[in-house]
This record gives sequence, C-alpha cells and structure tokens, in this order.
Amino acid sequence: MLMQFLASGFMLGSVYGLVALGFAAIYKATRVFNFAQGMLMATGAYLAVTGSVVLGLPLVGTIAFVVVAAGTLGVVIQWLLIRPLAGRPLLAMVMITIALSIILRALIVIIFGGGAQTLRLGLPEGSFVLGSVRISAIHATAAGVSWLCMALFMVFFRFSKAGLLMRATADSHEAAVLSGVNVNRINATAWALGTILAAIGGVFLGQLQVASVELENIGLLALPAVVIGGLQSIPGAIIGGLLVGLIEQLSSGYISPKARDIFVYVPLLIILLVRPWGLFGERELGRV
Amino acid sequence: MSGVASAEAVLEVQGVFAAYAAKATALSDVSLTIPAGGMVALLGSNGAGKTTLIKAISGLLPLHHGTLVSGSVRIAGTNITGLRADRIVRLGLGQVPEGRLVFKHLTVEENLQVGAAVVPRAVGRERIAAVYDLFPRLAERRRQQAGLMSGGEQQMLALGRALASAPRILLIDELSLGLAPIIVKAIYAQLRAVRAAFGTAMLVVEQNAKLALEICDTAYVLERGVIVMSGSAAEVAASDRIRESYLGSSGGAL
Ligand SMILES: Nc1ncnc2c1ncn2[C@@H]1O[C@H](COP(=O)(O)OP(=O)(O)OP(=O)(O)O)[C@@H](O)[C@H]1O
Ligand SMILES: [Mg+2]
Repeated sequence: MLMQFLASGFMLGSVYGLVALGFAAIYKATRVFNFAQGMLMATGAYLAVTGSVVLGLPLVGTIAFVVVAAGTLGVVIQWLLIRPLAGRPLLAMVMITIALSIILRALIVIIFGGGAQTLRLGLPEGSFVLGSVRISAIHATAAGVSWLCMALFMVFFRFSKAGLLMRATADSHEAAVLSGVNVNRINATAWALGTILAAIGGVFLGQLQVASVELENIGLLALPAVVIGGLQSIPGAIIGGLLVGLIEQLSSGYISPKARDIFVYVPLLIILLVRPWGLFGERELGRV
Repeated sequence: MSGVASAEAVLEVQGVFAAYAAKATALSDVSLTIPAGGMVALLGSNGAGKTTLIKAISGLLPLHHGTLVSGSVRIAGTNITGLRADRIVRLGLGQVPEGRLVFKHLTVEENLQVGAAVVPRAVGRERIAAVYDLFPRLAERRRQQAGLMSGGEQQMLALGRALASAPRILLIDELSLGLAPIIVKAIYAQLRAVRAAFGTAMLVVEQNAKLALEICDTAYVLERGVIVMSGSAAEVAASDRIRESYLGSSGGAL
C-alpha cells in the first residue's frame, strides 16, 4: 500500500507543485500574496469546459484556449487591480485578492450554475501497472504535463531575457526601474504566467474530479505548499507541492480523508513558528 | 555657462522645483546645463538636495513620495519631464544611485546584462566587454552573486551596469562612498577614459570636492535646494566660499 500512496501522492503533488509555482511566480515578482490562486485554478477547469463543451474545440484547441484565456485574465487582473495599488500596504493587496476570488466564484456560478460539470477532454483513460503500483493514465498524464510546464517555466526564468528581468525586478524594484526595466510589463507577465500555471492545474484537477467552484479548496493547498517550501524559492514551491500531495495521500490512506488538512496545516504552522522563510527559502536579511 | 547653446546640451534642467510629502521644498528654481561630453560636478553639504536633483532628472521622485512641482528637464532636446523612469533610461540616461543598488541575488554578469537590456544585443555585448576591460575585478568575479561582493566591488558593479546601457549621460551619486581613496582616483581616471571613448557626459555628485573639481570641467554648488554658485571648476575651486566649506582650507593652496 505504501508504494501506492507514494505514487499517487507524487502524481497529485506534481499538479499542486504546478499551481504553487504559479503562486510563487506572482509573489516573487510582485510581492502580492495571492489568495485568489485557488479560484484561478478552478477558473482553469471552467475555461476547459468552455473550450471543449461550449465551443466544441478538440483537445489541442481547448488547451490553447485555456492558455490564452488564462494569460489574458492574469494581465487584466494585474492591470485593473494590482497595478493601481502598487506601493499600498500588504493588507490592501491581500483584501484585493480575496475579493477577486469571491468575484470569480460568483461569475462562475452565474455563468455555469452552481452544480459541478463533468470535464472530458479525451485524455488517455484506463490504467497500467508499474511494479506493485497501479497508475491511472490520467494521473500519469497530469503529472507528466505538470513537470513539463514546470521545466519550461524554469528554463524561461533562468535563461530568457524576460526571465532575467523578472528576477531582477524581484530582487530590487528600484534598481530595476533605474536600469530601464518596464516593471509594469514584467509584473503583468508574472501574473499571466502564474494564472496560466494555475489554470493548467485546474484543467487536470477538473479532469481527475469534476469542474466545480469547490476546486478552490484544493487550489488553496498551494499556500501551505509555498510557505513550507519557502515563499522566495521557486524550486521550494515545487517541492512544497510534492510534499503536500504526499502528505495528503498518506494521511487519507492510513488515517482518514478528513485528516489531510491537519497534516498539511500543522506543518505550515510549525514552519511559520520555527523557520518562517520555509525549507528552501532564504532568510531575508532586513528589507530596504 | 551662458555660452552653451541649448541645442548642443545633452542635459538641460530648467527652473526645477521639487517637494516631498514630508518636505515642502527640496529644490527651488534649480537650473543646470551639461554640454555634450561634459563632465560636471554637483557639490553641496549633506541634505542640500543633490540626490533629490538626480531623482528629479531620472524620474525616480514618485518612487520616493516626491514630486517635480514645476520646471523642465530635457535630454538632447527631448523633454523628459514627467516621463516614466524606465523610459528615460531608454532615452540614454544612465544612473549610479546613492547606496549602490545592485541586484544582490543575480550574478555579476547578470547584473550587467540587465543594464545592457535596453540596447541592441550587439551593443550590449560590446559594452559589457568594455566594462570588464575597465574593471578586471568584475571580470574575475563574473559568476559570483553580487550580494556576496565587497562594498567597493558592488560600487564598481553599479557603475558597470550603468555603463552597459551605453548612456548618453551618466548621473553618479557619491561613487566614493565606501571606496578606498586610491580606487576612487583610479575609477575617476577611467571615467574620463569612458568619456573620451564614448563621449558620455556625466553629472558627478561627490563629497570629495577637491577630487571632483580636479576631474570635472564645470561645477555647481547646491545649498538648501538652491544653486548658490556655478562656473568652471577652476573658478569654483578658487572661490573663498568653496575653499572654506568644502576644501577644508582657509586660504591655503589647493
Ligand atoms: N523621501 C523623502 N521624504 C522627505 N524628505 C526627504 C526625502 N528624501 C530626502 N528628503 C529631504 O530632502 C532634503 C534633500 O535631501 P537629499 O537626499 O537630496 O540630500 P543630499 O544633498 O543628497 O544629501 P547627502 O549628501 O547627505 O546625500 C533633505 O532635507 C532630506 O531630509
Ligand atoms: Mg545624497
């Protein structure tokens, strides 16, 4: 059983890692703690519903639709809500993202109704056996695509010019401005990427379960994931996501599905108490 | 100063008033002109408004809750008053800020690449190579994280990053802070070489007035937000006021 729990924990954790990575990208570049990340993930599932059911697009078309729509949504959010509040206290920013998630939820319920929607994208179904573990094809696809997206993001962040400017902006806003970086454009890019990563996670979770606004609760697991991994650390977010997936599967497998939240949020509290910069984050040495 | 036609001025500040939320008047009717390729010293005691003037020129005042109340700033004839700071950089203004703001988590090379990001790739590469020639110490440490370098090395990096953007005009705020005097002299000598090679004009804020007056062609003296004196470096150095308050001598030879 242990191997089975570890395998499914790893695969779910990969999707959480993806959503957490989106959260960390937004936080790192814009210093906004985005409580709407869970709802953005749920929105991704509904974008997939829109693409495949409403517009009748094939799989590739639906994926393209989700990516473009989520990216646009991220830019709009940054432009409309985040940018005007630049430099305001943290509380205002946090309230904005909470309000945003409530508004998104209401919009989804108005458009799609409150009930859950089944999402069938035509991804490979069935399952296969690997050693002593049975793996569902959808879980495997979800994990594989998540790792691909995470790898693409890391390559972008490390090696592209836009990624360099994003890291520079995260490092020092003022130094970036006086080096000629258009910080607004960088922040919009970070929001677009963060939203796209959340939405892709939402597509898979909608596929593994159903598309529902309640997916938000799963998406919000990105928060403990990034806090455990370290808010400032991009790899930390991925590892935090994996840990949350493993903890979830082990605790619900051995104890009870209800135990998940305790085993995820208790480590969160411990980390905040003894190592607030997370497992992989860097201790912040006084802010300028 | 009046001899400089405004058409050939690379930087022209006219009648600038600036204020902070917590300070009603930080600059009062400040005007200053830098001819193409000119090297101009800006002197003044602590709190005189030198850094404020630099931020007023570079568009960074809003980031510090300050405003340019009135007046105008032009780069090579283009009015840049009120433009966003990053656009001003793209128009050819480079800056070495007070307190060496480098990107601490990026490597030396990446810091320079961010500086060069505003110019075409080939120009950037050429400029970064020139920076490495100028500061071999940066070349040796190109893969090192900037935050782990010594204060003086970070200061060189801040200067290198500004030079990598191939600026028409460079604003330098207290380069000597934290640097050994001998290094400061060497860097200023190199800045003169940069000017000779690329025609870069410079506005130099410097606590070491003696040194600044040696290397610059002209000088302005700012006191409590007002320009109280300007002229050729030799004229300013010879004035009693400067000799007493900045050069630490009451009548002795420079
Ligand atoms: N952000 C700010 N808010 C309010 N007042 C400010 C701010 N920055 C500077 N000042 C005030 O404006 C005046 C000019 O400051 P500025 O930093 O320009 O002086 P400076 O000539 O650069 O001094 P120093 O040689 O010490 O660097 C000072 O009285 C200072 O207290
Ligand atoms: Mg100053």
